[in-house]
Amino acid sequence: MTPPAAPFTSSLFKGYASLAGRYDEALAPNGSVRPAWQAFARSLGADPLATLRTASESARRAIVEQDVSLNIYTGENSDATAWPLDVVPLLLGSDDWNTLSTGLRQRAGVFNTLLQDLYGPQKLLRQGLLPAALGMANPHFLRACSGLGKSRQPFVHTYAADVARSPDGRWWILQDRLESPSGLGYALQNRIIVRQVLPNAFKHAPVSRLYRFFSDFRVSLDRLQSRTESPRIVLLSPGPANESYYEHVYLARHLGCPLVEGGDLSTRDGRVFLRTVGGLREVSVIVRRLDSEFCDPLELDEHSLLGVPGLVHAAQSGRVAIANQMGGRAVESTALLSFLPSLCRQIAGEDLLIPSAATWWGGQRAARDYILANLHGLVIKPTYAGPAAPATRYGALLDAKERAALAAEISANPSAYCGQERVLLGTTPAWDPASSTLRPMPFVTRIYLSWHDGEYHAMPGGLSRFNTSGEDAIVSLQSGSVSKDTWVLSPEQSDEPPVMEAATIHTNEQRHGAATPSRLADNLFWLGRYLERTGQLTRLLAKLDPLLRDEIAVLDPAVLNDTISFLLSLQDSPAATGGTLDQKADYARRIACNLGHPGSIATNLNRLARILEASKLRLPPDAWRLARELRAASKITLNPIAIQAHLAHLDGVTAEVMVHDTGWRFLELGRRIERATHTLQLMRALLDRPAASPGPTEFRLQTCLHLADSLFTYRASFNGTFHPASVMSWMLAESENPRGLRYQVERITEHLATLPDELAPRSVEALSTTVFRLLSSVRLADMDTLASTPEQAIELWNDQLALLSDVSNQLAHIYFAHTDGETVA
Amino acid sequence: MPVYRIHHVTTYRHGVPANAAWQSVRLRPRDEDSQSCLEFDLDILPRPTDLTQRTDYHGNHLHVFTVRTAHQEFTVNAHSLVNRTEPLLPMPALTPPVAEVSDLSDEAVLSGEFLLEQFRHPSAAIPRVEAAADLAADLDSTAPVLTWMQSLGELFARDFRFDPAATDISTPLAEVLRLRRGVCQDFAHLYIACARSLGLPAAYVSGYLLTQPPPGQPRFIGADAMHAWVSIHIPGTGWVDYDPTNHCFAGAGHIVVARGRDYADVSPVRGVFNGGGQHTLSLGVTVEPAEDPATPSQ
Repeated sequence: MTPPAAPFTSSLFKGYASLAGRYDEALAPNGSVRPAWQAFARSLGADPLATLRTASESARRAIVEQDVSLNIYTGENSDATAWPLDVVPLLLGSDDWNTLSTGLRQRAGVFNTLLQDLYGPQKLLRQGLLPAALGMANPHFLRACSGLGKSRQPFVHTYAADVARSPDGRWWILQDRLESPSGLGYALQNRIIVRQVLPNAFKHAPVSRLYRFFSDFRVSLDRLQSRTESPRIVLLSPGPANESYYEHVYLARHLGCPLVEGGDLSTRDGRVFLRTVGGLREVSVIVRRLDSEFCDPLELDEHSLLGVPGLVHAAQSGRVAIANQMGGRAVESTALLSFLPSLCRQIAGEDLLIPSAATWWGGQRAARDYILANLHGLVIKPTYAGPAAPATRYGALLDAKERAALAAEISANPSAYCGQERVLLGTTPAWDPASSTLRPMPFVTRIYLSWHDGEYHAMPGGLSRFNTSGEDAIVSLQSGSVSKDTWVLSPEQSDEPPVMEAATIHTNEQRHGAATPSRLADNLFWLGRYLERTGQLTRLLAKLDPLLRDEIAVLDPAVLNDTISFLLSLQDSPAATGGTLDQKADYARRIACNLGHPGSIATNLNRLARILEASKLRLPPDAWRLARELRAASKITLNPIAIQAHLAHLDGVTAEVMVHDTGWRFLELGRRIERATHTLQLMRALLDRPAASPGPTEFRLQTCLHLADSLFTYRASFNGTFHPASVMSWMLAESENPRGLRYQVERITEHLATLPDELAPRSVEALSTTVFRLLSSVRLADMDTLASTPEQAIELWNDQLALLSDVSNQLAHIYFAHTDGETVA
Repeated sequence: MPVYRIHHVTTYRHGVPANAAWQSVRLRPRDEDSQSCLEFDLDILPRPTDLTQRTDYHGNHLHVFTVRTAHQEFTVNAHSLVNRTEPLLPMPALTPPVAEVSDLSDEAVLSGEFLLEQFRHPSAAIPRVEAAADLAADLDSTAPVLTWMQSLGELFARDFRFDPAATDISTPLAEVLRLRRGVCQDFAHLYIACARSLGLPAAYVSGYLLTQPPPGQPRFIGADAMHAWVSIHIPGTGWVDYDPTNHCFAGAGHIVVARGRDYADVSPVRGVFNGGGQHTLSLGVTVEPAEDPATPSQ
């Protein structure tokens, strides 16, 4: 007999005590620390609480730096908040994991069969195994999707369940997710952050890796559609306003597939196509993150602006696989849980391995009576979730009057209510930043399974959450919960390679430029234009003060007057009349900060921020951080210097870090068209004068060059002498000046030559002709003539501005605004 | 054996040209006990690039198509030839009392007729409305259901006025009850709400009426547009159609196009456009007696 080991002690658990009546993950009922947590405590070093404090701070920084966010719905003004993460992971031993993964595999299979039947032959309804009302009076049963269950493909590609530990240590299912389980991306992101901030603990624990699940996930998507040889996968998202948009971006990146919104897709002949700058490309698999109801305004919710008309019909024709298939919410009803044991026996031929919380459905007489007689001990939930559904209520928390009101409410419409046994959630240690100690928190874990090679596989991990108030009630991320990484400890798996950090799978097809989605190209084009426009505007604003203080201002005030008017006209504001130069400058500054003014710098920055958000997926992570800082800098006061720094950095990132693919070409085209336009507008504003008047003063010429960021380069090239013809030449006609007109037009010509032309050959030809005319007019202009005849100069510049605007419109017409009449590529 | 020729034209006019259109239409009359659709033709301008047919969950014919020609006006012409006979009505006294129908329906649902259940609950366009339940509660619940159907219709005739100006397609049921005015769609929805409040399976029917009545008979309300009525499932008998707008059981002149839980299930024409701005929708229906092609004339 070995002598009993010395009892384990660690400052990590100082003051930590389990809550009465609940199972605790770290402490056994006798108060001793469970072995996995002993090992975890040891791996945190001599001062584990200090290690956790440092790790928490690092995690917070990492989240801010990587801009991990969650959009919380707050009505109209939804705003992204930083992702809440507790660095202390939930530790699951291999016994627990085996129980959970086996039980959930069974459950995923049962739900898949259930949905295939509900949207197929409906035998279970006919036989009464599923009560008729749960199918027929179920608002989430989508009749338009009837028939989709007959496909050989799984109805449920990804299944998720929220599990919790009951006081006796057994696992319970609180909720099943079949519609479009969210959180997978957040689970992966949590893992990457926690691994970074607790490297030692992670290294010493035999943590199951996630990479295999994700690579299988990708492969299984490829195989969902057997008719196409090289499947094209897209992730369909509701867009940036959705609470989990960050996750959609993250997952799309990870899977290496385009992130699309309804407007990017088009249907015809029962097939789905992606609108790209090279024409329509067939889509064979859709990873669906848009709620089923909103997927098709033609056959589902007709008010949906997010869907794809004809998608249901395409799904019915079997030419596109959707993961998960539309309509899964029909079996998310709480009421279904009371029939699941018998359905499982019928479908799987065995007993349900993990129980759900005991549930009574008011639609059955005996169950309704039970609910009414036991209100005090039950959680009352709506049978069907939804915006119009009654709220969930804890009978125990109601007073006699409230309970009577609830009873009356249930009696009036019993089938709309379910009673559920209240499960006292188990607790797990969580970091409490206020006291810098661990506290036991009731938690729920979401576990994910996906279909691969004929069966469901569980991701060895999960998304655990707890409520900061320490209560059981609704553990949803929308209502202020904190997430946790989930470590499945299994000794035999620890040597596998680490999780993939970013998208590594790219098919040649996706790399091909023509596959750039049109809306993305559109966004990138406008990103280029707004980056340039806001840059020009803020630089102009910043130059105003030094110019006002320059002594030449006193000698030649008309130049400054024109400069201020120019700044105002760029902001779509009429020139200020009367007042001193300082007063006019003040006025221009006030306009610049005015978010209510449509052309102001502030408004332009706002638009830039929105476009950055919409193009996130294609920008390097650096740009996400910059976008956030830019947003912050333009929110408080308009600080041109700080904004300039961010914009310059964004310019650098977009020029040097982004892949120079077709999308980037559109960004560059936007930038060049904007800069060329700006140069011409500047010339027109400062060099316009009556024909008979003497030529521009030297100060005027200098200012013009200065505002075009070309003064330094001009001086270097022209030995510091200022002649109108040479200034015009430097600004307009020299290929060497990267701020000049000719340089921009040459770049535009180059970029256009690389764009696909198979989409609309004739329109592309017309566009080339326009650009050629522009380039010729720039090349052939005689600077001496322009300098001596201002009216000719103005006419030419106006012509050139019109040509630039034509180029922009033609680009938009060819590549962004699809008419749906075009041919399939 | 009356045979009818039906022409149903729907025209969209756009403020600015539309680039493309996706349409789903339920215009082909159903084949059922009292009627058969002998011919059906969809004539669409501009021409669709694809046109496919499906049967929807309620057994209605659904045509789905897309138009990819830029257009400012868009027309769907549906031509049908339908053979319709007078449905046989059961003897009122042989139908069960209303009060028993709910339990009898429960039994039917449990013994395999689960589809009936969807017609006994609130649906998208027919929510639970207390005032409708009150209306139904005023009638004699011991009466045979067929008699009850007629009484409810008479109550409608007395208390509700047909008034196309009072409501539109989005007027909620509670508002119709308050106004006591409406059109066939409103009356059908209201009638269904009353029936469902007692647990009766009640369905919505869309269809046509003969444009010009036989000599000596009054012209029906709703004859120049699409009409709507209801259908009540009577245990032991089956579905019986009733027209609450004209206060009569559906006859040989009621041609059934589609059946569902409410208007949302049977909307005859649904479309989504790419571009086009605001549009106006106009429709015309003519229903005329025709020669039965099966019985050569002379």
